[in-house]
Amino acid sequence: MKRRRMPDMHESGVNVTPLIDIVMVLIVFFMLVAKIGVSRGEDADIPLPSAILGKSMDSLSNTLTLNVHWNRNGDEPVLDALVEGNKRELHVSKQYSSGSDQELARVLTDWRKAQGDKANLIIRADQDMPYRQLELVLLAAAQAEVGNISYETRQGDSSTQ
Amino acid sequence: MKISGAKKVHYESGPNMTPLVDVVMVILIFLMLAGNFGGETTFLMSKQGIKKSGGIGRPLKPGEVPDTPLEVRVANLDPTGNNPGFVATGTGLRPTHDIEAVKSWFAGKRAAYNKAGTANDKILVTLSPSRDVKYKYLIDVYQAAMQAGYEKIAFTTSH
Repeated sequence: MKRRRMPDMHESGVNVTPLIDIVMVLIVFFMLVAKIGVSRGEDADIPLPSAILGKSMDSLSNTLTLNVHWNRNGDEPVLDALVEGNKRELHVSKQYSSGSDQELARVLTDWRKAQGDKANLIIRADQDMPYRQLELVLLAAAQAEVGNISYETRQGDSSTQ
Repeated sequence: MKISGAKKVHYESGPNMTPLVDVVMVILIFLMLAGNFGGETTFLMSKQGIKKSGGIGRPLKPGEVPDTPLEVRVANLDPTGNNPGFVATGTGLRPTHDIEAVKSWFAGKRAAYNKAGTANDKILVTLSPSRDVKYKYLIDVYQAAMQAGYEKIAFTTSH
């Protein structure tokens, strides 16, 4: 009778198939969650005021984020925004008068006409800046007839507490 | 003499998965680094913007009743700006730097207006800041008005 030897035993090593399944799930998760390449042109260096009643925005379409920097050397804020894909410095004069030709008002008007009623201006302003500088921005927004204004804040307690 | 051993058995091990794991790990790390995480910001939304002093922002429509105004003036607690804090005053609100007092005042006013038949959406809260008051104090007072249930909150200007 022919005896058959038992085949030699080989170690197959670690089975990596479940690991690949888990990694694939993680990739799909990050692809859906991460916002890659989506930029509003926001300046992360601006210290925002804190608020507890702020809401998240479902859709950032129809929005224009205006970075309002505190100008410590004058009365006019330093402004910049991502307009039509290009980062632009915008100017607003402290010598405001209704109907005057203000670059910021002009840009906001053109933008508002393109977006329609859903146009939403996001103001990202320095928490320590004096109101007299922010006032100029609000006046330009009023001149441009922007109906929706959102004040960007960071999640947190009141700044006075 | 040739000694032949047992027949060698070849096991089908399938494709080598190790490079696939490496590629997938690199893609995963890329997505983790490229995504935007942390520092979520929120928004206080307003439909009022700014109102010029002494008048409303737009002409009234025929038959439209103007909103009931409720003004609160906000200034820096220290005009020199050396000490933090704000001071708020209003009709029936003595100068205070306590945000809780401002909230209570807002709530009391709203209750009184509601009792008189004025709905929340017919009350316009106007924040009248001084020129040098810090933006963060205005946000605090703005929030206090929101917490009291007001729906229309606007800033004013002296221009």
